[in-house]
Amino acid sequence: MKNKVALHIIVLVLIASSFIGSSVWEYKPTPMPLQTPKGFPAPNAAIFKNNPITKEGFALGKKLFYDFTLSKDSQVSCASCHQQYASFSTYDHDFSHGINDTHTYRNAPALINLAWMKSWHWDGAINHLANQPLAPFTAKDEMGETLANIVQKVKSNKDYAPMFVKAFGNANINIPNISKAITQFTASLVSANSRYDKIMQGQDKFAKAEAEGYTIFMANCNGCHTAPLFTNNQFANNGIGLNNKNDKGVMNITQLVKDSLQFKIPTLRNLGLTMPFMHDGRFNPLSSVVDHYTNLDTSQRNLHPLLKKKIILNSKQKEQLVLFLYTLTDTSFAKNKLYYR
Amino acid sequence: MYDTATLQQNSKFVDANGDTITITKLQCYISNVNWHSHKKEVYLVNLLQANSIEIHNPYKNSKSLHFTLGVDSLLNCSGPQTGALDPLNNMFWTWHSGYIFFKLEAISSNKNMRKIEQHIGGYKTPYNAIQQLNLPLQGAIRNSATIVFDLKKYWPTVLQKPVIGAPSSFAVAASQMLSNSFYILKNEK
Repeated sequence: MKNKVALHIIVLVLIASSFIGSSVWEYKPTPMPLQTPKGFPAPNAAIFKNNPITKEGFALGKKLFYDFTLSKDSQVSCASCHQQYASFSTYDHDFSHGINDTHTYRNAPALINLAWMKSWHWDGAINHLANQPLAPFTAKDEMGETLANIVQKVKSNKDYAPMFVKAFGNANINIPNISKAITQFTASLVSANSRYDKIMQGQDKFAKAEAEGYTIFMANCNGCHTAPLFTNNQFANNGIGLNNKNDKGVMNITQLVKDSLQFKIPTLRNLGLTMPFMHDGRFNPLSSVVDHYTNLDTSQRNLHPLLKKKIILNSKQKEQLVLFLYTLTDTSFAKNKLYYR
Repeated sequence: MYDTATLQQNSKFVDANGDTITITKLQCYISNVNWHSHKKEVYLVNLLQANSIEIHNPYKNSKSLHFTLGVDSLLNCSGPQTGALDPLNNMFWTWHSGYIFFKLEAISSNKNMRKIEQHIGGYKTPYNAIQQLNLPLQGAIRNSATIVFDLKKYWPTVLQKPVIGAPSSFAVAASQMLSNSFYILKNEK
């Protein structure tokens, strides 16, 4: 009798110890902090407050980014309009395709170096990177879904719960965590490995025409498209005028007349992959953008002050400028397997 | 309330023009309540539900009740949040980051009026619509008070512009009218 009891106790102890051994799980995500490329300023710290990038959060964000089922008709994911081979813009499209054969009304911008911005979208409507996913989720000409349905869809896909646990330490599938995960992915889209970057680091050299183009760029373009981000993150009226969609840019958001036709100054990085150009994709090829600036009517009202001074370039100089601009393309970024689906 | 009538979801009332109004949604954010020990707490208040929130006053003999109609600007730019501020409450503009802090949706019997849909918000100058309210309390002991929102007082603003969907100068003016439409019904104990 005594022996039996003792045996039971031993068995129980064994079971208990093995149970404890396997059940102690610690929430310990692997940090994956943003690497600031050489020469870049510090990134926008507000993005990472309460949301540091981890391998697990990044992996979850990537899965959500490529998930077609999140859209109303299961045809559109974030990646539909933000294609890696196009530097996460829509390749060779002025407007992108939303659900039910709709078209967006603006050109999809490249998703690169987002962590160095303070506002997002062509009109600056988005004030925090983690607020951004809510816009395409719900826009009728993009993913067209309700936020409540997005949460339901993520909950009903069994793959996700363990990923949320790994990323956030709990299976709270809600809009804040969905957005945080996507933000970890999009903020990690850092592109700074173009020929220009290698040249600046002394690992490569400009060809003669590119070097001439660089001088022209610094004299005429760098005021707004400021190196090394190739944007000063400001907004400007660059004189292209109202399009047939009556898109007034920042004024759509602020209702202020002074903001009429102000659009975000886009980065020039990767423009070898992001054509066509401008907020409505009206210019292609790149030389037509240069022609726009040299042909500009500088007497226009509300024109950006730096454009009031006529830019005069001969055809050779224009070619040199374009050749320089192509050195800003980072092909390794477009092929980086870290971002693959 | 509409004057002395208590409103619930789908309540009807007849406005000054003789039109029958069916009210489907009436809610607002309040925050920074001076009575509350966690002053930063934000409440989503359903104005179509009596006693939709209760806040206990830890202080004795308050002379006034102070609160913010709206959500502090910092919380408008901190990314999506949980609880009262969860975007699932449909009080967040997804296409233009920022909280809607007053939402009024109703149907008018007047065929010439479009559907009534006022979404009021805005935290940035010059169209910062956030309001600070300070309601004086009567009597000697002031530990409990019932706050009323009187839609009748605000209704002329609705008739002026039945649809508001973004921050604007009108939204700021409307928000000032909103803050004038709250009063203390009674305070006791």
